[in-house]
Amino acid sequence: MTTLRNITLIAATELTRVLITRRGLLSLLAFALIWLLIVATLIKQAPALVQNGATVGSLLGSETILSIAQWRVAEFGIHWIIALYVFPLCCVLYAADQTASDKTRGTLKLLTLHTSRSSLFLGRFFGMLAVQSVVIAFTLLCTLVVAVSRDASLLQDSLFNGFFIWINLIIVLAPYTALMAIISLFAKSGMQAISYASILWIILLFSISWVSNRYPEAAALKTIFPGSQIGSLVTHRDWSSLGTITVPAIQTLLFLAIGLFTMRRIDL
Amino acid sequence: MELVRCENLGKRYGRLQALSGINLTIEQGKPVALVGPNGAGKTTLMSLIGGFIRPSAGTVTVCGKTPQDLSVKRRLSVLPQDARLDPNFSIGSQLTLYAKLRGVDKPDTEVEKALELVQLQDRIKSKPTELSHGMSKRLLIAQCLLGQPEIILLDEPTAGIDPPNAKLIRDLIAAESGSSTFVVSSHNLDELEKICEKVIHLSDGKLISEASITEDTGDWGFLTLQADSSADQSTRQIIESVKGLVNLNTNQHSEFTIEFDAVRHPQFHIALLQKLADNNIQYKKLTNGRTLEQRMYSQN
Repeated sequence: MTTLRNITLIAATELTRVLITRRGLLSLLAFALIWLLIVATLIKQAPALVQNGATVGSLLGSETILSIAQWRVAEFGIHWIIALYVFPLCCVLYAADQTASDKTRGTLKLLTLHTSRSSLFLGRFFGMLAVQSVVIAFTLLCTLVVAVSRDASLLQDSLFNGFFIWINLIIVLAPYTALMAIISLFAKSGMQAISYASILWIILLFSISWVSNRYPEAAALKTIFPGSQIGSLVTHRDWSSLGTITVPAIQTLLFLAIGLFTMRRIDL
Repeated sequence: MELVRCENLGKRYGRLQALSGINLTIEQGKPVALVGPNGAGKTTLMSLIGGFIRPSAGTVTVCGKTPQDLSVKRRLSVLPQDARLDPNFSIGSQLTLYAKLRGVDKPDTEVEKALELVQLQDRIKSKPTELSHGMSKRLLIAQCLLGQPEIILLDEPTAGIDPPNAKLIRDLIAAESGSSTFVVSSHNLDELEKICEKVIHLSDGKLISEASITEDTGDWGFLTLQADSSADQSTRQIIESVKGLVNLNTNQHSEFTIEFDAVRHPQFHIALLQKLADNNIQYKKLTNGRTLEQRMYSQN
């Protein structure tokens, strides 16, 4: 009970860090401006882009463009594709400093005097996921405004599409966030955690590609990478997407278990 | 009541053996001093008791449980040497979070009370970066006081801070030592002597001694005479002429450590004062016993 209460308290503090502190608001503003640029240049042009399928098809692949064309609200179709590929990258950047700076500063020591290491680790993870949920919701709201301003009758479909994308993106980002929580424990700063993540990613990618080239049955190892299901998610536009939940769910649980084990044993 | 027990405790960082074979207990009561030169293992020992690091050998328990145990959180608090609060949140909001995490009944009231004790109540809305070094130390002591833990470890609480802030911290430890047992590490032995009753002496990662700060000298008495700067060889000769003197040591600061036969010459100090007066020798201070520094680092 205490653990659950403390996880909630820590997660709420992380949310406050982004929504109330000057530093958090600045990073949110920077992201919002970038996203508004994407809205203005790509999402707002979605209906035209979908109609001009040949151009987009050459960029994204014919199957992808075909799936976008099937969305009732084209803006959300484009949003879905962009978000699936851009948000994991943003997540790595955003979730890199879950504990790194606090550990270097000694703040983590102070926190562990008042709560368990497990609740601190999980609180930070869920807090970071909550922050990303808010950011995703903001981007969806922008797309909804664009779609409804084009055609007000699209409101209901937009709400449905928005909710579908929101849930699915949180599921996609959960393993990235959990993996960054582990890496953050070994880094001295957010930047260092990003460097560690890049190095780890490239080494693992090359190693697994090399192994699976020699032993094709080892190709399944690629599923250890967060986002390994993204390729198959692209064509989904309804709740059948939840059929792909198993891989990210197992990845998240596995990374959290490793993170908790590390957090309990690491020297602060 | 036993608060801390270390059994054959050791900690290794790579090739460096920071602490080894530590066996000690800390009982509930008056403040305990943790002394030793740099690299003696004081911070490592505090970190082990505080649960920040895990032992490489042996065990450490706080109130019978491992320091990581959730029930220990309410009973133990630590002022780590280099820790700082999060610069992005106000002091009040962070201390309130700590109090809530501890499960304190009225967190806001508890925070106000703790800040008042360290005289920082008017800084509740400030960010930690707006405080001076001395204030930051006091703030971290305030976080130690939340929820009134039974044992509080202070790792060099007065290091690098000005005399008024140091005095405030000493006074605070003295005032709160009735409700919590303090373990204080410091290089300032004079300061520790004023507030502590027991001293744990570490050197090279080993426990050298664990004793009461009040010296049991048996048949021998000790006096410490702080002469004024004009003291010279003649002052020494005058002291040596007092009957009952056993040994006399001088340091560079005109401080004489006088060892005498307290059984045969119980009035030695009166005879000494008389001699000093007769010879018009000025002195600043005469204290009974040896200072902690003299006891720990003198050859005799």
